[in-house]
Amino acid sequence: MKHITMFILLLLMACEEVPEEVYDNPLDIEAITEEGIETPALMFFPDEININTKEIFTVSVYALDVQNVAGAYININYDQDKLLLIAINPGTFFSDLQDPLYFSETQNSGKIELYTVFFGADSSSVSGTGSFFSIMFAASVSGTSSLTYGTDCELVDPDDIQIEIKGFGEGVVNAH
Amino acid sequence: MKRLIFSLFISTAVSFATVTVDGYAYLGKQNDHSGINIIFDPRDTGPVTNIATTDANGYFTVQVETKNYFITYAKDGYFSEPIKPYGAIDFDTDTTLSSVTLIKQTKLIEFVNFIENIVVDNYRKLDIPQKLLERIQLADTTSQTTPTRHHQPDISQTSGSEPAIRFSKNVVPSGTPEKAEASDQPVISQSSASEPAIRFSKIATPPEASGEAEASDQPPASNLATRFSKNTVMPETTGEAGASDQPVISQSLASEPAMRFSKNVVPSGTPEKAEASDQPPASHLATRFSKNAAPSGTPEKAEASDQPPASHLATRFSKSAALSGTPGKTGASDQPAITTRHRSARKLPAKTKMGAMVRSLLFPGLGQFYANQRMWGYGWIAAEVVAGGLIVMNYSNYKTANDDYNDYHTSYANATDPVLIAHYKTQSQNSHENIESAMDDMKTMASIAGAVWIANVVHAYMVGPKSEVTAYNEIPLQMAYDQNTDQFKLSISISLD
Repeated sequence: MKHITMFILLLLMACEEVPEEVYDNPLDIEAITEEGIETPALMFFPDEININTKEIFTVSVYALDVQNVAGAYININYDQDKLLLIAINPGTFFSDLQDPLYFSETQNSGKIELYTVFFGADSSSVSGTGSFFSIMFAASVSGTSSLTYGTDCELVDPDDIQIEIKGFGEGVVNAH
Repeated sequence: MKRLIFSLFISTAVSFATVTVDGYAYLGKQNDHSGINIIFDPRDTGPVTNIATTDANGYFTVQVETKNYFITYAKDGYFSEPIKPYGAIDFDTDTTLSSVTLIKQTKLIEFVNFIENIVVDNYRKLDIPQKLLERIQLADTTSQTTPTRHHQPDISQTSGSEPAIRFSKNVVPSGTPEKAEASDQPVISQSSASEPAIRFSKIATPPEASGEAEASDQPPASNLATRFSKNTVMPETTGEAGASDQPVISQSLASEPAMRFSKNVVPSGTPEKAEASDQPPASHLATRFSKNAAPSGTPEKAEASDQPPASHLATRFSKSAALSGTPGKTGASDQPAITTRHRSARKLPAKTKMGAMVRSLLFPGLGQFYANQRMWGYGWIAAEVVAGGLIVMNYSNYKTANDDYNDYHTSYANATDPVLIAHYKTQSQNSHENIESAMDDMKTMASIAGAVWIANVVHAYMVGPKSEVTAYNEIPLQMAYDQNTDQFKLSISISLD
């Protein structure tokens, strides 16, 4: 019995491996920098979604490592044959500011246009990393589809000066 | 005449006077007590029996003659009860009996009764007590008529029809000794008829025993093949046996329980007689769990009887004792011929270096123990245990670090706050380093343990016992000069075995 236990233990130890070290959080600046995405950037979080068909998921639109943002225009493309837009909710990036405005315009062409702006008396702004919106989708059919940012997205400071967006993340939805 | 008629009338009236008997009988744990039969069985007359039956309340009444009756309360499914305290009552006047409650038979009890009935029935079918009594009577008869034939033990009666039984009692009834005294016949065995234990007894005599006894004019005693027996020579028996020419072979007390561990007991009381005896001490019992007590009283009787006092009990376990005991009659065999079976000692295979090596390959140190290098054996075991302990410790560290890594990595993947992301990432990296460190240490210790194991195997081979079969130390060459032929001769011899 002792021998068998020892043998099993050794067998288990022989089967053990060191796990591969993977850091792929889309909001981890170091990680995305290694992937070639520079900041400031617009990212999806999470950037990879695995769901079953007919299930609803939420993906957030994040501004990563931005400075003095007071307004944004964000253009998102999705595969309308595979994903069904359910709802668009405000994010938390401007939640500390007074009365931010949120607009969204959806078209049947698989394009979502989002606007948010803050008109503060003292020309306040936010910096760092935060979400502008969270969007709810449902996977209508199985398959892989992607969420992408349009190239005409804009971030502006309180003086309405455009902030350069150097990187754009991409979201992947795997519906089974 | 009138007086005579009157007296006859009176006597008839008195003799057939009836009394009323009533009372209550109940069924235990029942509300309806009807159906209990109260049986009035007269003691002095024939089958005239009165039966009363209870009603639902348990009440019964009956008219019976003024006699003495056995009274029994009975109902199917219930234990019958006799009237207390003596089971019988003499009725002179109207009587109310004390109430009786019958106890219901449970299934278990019914089952036990069922088994008991089967056993008793079979026991009666076997009719063992009757056979034993017949045997004893036959022995008595033959001892009184033809003494020379008495030397043949009555073996046939013990065979065949008797059941095979493991626990035996050999009984010489207290009444038979006188008969044994008068006869030359060995009283072989007798079992009490009323003894339930008899059902578990077997008296067997090996076939060769009878032949020997016949040829040697000896009672072969009784070779009682029993696994567990108790042979007892009762005090009165010994005295009688002394007068007889036959040994009283065995006797068991009927009232004694069947015993597993046998003991040959001859009651003390005649030790001085043993001195005068040149007979072998009595009983040779071969039982594994037996105690053979040389009967203190038997030798003396043996002396007087010229007979081996013995009982030869050959048992399944190991030792067969054959007594040829009668000096005068057998002549050549004054001493008991004792045959003992020995199991031949199994020759152990010689120890070899390979044997030591294989054992150490199976487990460190075993080969050294095999080679009688105990200290080395302990040392190798200790070394391997230490190495194994370190492996286990590192494996535990590995598991801990792995669990931490999984937790931190999950937290990192789900974090959206850059501060938390950095924190969890750092923790994950630290855990991953611990995993790698533990794994490296584990591999190192596994390598060391493996090396120790191999070294232990090699060492076991080195210190292993050398084979007894070795090559020639010297070359078996012989060289000589033959003067006759004026030549040198060279011879070589090679053993082929």
